[in-house]
Amino acid sequence: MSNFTGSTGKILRQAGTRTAVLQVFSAVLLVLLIFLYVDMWSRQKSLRDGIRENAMWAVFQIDRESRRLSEEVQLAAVRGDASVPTLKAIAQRYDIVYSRTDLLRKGRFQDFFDQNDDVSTAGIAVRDDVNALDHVFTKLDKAPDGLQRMTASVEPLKKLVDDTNALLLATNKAVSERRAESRDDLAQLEHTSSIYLILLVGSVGFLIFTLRRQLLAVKNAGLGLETMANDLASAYTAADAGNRAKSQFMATMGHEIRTPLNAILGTAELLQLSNPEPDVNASLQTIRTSGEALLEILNEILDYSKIEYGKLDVEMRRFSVPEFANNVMDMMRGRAKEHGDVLVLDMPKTVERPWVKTDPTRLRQIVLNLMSNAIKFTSDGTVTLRMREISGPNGACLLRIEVQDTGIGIDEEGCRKLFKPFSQVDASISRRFGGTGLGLTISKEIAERLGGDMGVESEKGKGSTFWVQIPVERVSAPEELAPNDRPTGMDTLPRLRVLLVEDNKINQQIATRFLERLGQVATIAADGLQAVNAAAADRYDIILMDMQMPVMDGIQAAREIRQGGGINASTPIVAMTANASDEDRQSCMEAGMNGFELKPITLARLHAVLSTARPGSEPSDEAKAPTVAQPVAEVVSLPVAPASAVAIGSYDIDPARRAELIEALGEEIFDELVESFVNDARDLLKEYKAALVAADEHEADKALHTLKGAAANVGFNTVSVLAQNMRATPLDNENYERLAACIPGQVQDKAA
Amino acid sequence: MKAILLGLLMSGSLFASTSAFALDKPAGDTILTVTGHITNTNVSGGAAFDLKMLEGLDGRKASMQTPWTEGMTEFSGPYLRAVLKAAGATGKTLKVKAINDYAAEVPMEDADKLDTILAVRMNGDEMSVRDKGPIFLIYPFDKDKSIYNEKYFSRSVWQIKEIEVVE
Repeated sequence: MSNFTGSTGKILRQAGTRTAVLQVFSAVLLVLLIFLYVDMWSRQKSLRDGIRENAMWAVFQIDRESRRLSEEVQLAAVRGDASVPTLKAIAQRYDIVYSRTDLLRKGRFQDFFDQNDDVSTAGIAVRDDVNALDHVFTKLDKAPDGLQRMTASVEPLKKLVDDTNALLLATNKAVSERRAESRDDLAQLEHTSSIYLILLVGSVGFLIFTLRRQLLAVKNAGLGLETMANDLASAYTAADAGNRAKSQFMATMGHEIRTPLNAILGTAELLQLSNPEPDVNASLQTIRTSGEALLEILNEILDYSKIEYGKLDVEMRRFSVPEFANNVMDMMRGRAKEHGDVLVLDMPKTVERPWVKTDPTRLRQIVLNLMSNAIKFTSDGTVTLRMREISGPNGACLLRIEVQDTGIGIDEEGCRKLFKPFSQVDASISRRFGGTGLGLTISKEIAERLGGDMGVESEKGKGSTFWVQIPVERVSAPEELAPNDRPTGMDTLPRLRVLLVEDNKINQQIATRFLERLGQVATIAADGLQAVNAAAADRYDIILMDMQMPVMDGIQAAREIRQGGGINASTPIVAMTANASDEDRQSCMEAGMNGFELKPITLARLHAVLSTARPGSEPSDEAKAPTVAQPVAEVVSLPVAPASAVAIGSYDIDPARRAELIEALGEEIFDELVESFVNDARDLLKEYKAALVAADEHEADKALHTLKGAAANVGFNTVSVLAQNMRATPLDNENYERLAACIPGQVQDKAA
Repeated sequence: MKAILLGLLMSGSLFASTSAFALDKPAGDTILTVTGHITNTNVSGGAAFDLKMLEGLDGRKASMQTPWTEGMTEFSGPYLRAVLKAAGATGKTLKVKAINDYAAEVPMEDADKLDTILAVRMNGDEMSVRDKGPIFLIYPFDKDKSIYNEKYFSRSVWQIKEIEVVE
């Protein structure tokens, strides 16, 4: 490549100049040559037009005619012949001589004769002689003294002959000279023109040579460019591959580091639970604090590498703004307390459109980051979370979230650096407060990815206000009927053969109760495989299918029931899931399902779903004996726990859901259900903790999924949201604690 | 038609004579005689023309430059081919003779293809011997520049007295 830029470029540049010079030179030569040929042509033309030969001939004729006149006059004079014919003939001879002589004065002859002094002088002498004889021969035949005139003219005629002879000689000499000159001229011209021609040919030849070189150089340059392009392409591929490898490396390393780290943190916590000595406990606490800080850093780096690689996925979902805000507040409360900060939620009492669509998980990540930053840099102050819905351009709805603190604040220069990766306001900050400096970069990237923006207003010493503003789609609230409206408007459904596929026991119970309320008895399958088997054995009017289940998930089960071509191949299958993304909906439809219901399902919705199904024309044996449901899986009876174990009233249960459940099941059963959930939740938390220590992400996720579904069903919305969020983030002890704090009894355990 | 019939009756032969009405005898001085291969004669062995006869034939008047005259000069006279036709000439070459015994051979095609005239007037005047008269063979130098050269100059005979038609 360097060769190409070196020698080839030089050749090209030189050839360019050389070609230009040669072109000019050739053009000049060509013009000269043209002039030369025009000159030659005009000379040739003048030669052709020339009357030198004629002049010679004319002079010769004068001489000849003069001699004949002289001879005839002498002869007549000697003979004394003065007869009229003789005189007439002699007069005509003179006329001829006269006309010939006259010619010398005419047209181009004169030019020639004037050019040479000798010829000119001789010519004038001849003309004078002829003119002098004019009176002798004019009307000679009529003159009475013809003979005397002739005799007298003998001598002048002799002089005329001498003069014409002299003219002839002079002319001959002049013509010869002129001819020689002209030949020399022509030879000279030919010589010059041949020199020009040789130069021209040389120049053109050189031009061709240079052009050829130039063409070769251009060709080489083209090849060079092609090679360069190929090199660049492969360099790019290599760089891209390098970047991929880097991201892969980051992900792997992150995972590899996180796993033992979780084990360390888990072990430290377990040790703390065994009531160690205070100094040991302090050390353990240090281990946990440092470990958690390390984990946070790792997570940030992983997020950042995802952003850098463009792998940051967003999932648009419907969520409630007030609920979102309350969740965040709940999550930050503990930490704020540690710093002695007061948390304030500034949100209009009545949010106009509380349900919006964006990625709540990512949005929560941003707000949590801002909140934890605010708390981190504020001691004994106030941190305010401000939520506003504002109108953007073109009537778009913007969600503006502000996090205001009364902390240390940032100066102007610091504000500028704030959103740059790995930058903190100054080095002392990172020494004092720690952190990677990536949090805000990540947050800003996410905000931009969601189509919004992020910024800060701050004054040193007075606190900062970080704001994030993202466009959201206004959506209607999920259908929710006021408790009063509920069962009254419902038609009585016919008896249906319902197959309920659900792995979670709480969910099973609630669904069973709901179905009972609607006058149905369901067969229960605890996972996809059981569902497929049940569907193969008996005919059903409708199948309610959970999505995420052990052994076989709902999608797979639906697919097999459809493709198996059995008796339930065309039975309506309705998906019941907490996963609300379009993608999930799409895969349900692709698997051959007929409907899609969001969990937790309300009684009204369940009624609506069931009313779409029609009882089969051939009632099976089970349908004839409606009271006996032959469950494939054992219907779990609710464990009877002492009601006093936990104070139900203190639970954070969604009142609407609670009302609905009480309405459908009765208060007693609801209480049992809550109790059952709490027990389950404790078990699930233990499972999660074990998975956390073992760094088994799969088990942890399973536990969280079940917990989330069950919590939503019973109305423990905070637990449900928290569990769902934890599924999206790496295993983390801090999150575990947050979750545990929301479940009654767990906290008491800790305190004990 | 009547005259022809009368002529035929009088001569008694269809092919004997065509000269009787083809060419009159010159009334004035003969200035040109066409001899050789000709069919129409009015003198013994030739066709003689006076100025009036020549000027009565189809011809042209044109101004041009020649090597022998100064400036634009106007020549007028009958076409050479008209004169030859009047004489009933057939042949390939003409021998044009001048009164000083100068002679030039002129191909018949110069008469046929070029508007060559036998000029009898220069600038409207008859030409004396001193003015290269009485007849000057003038090529159409005004119409065709390519014939302005020695080849045609040498054929431009002046002081013509006779044209002999050869072959």
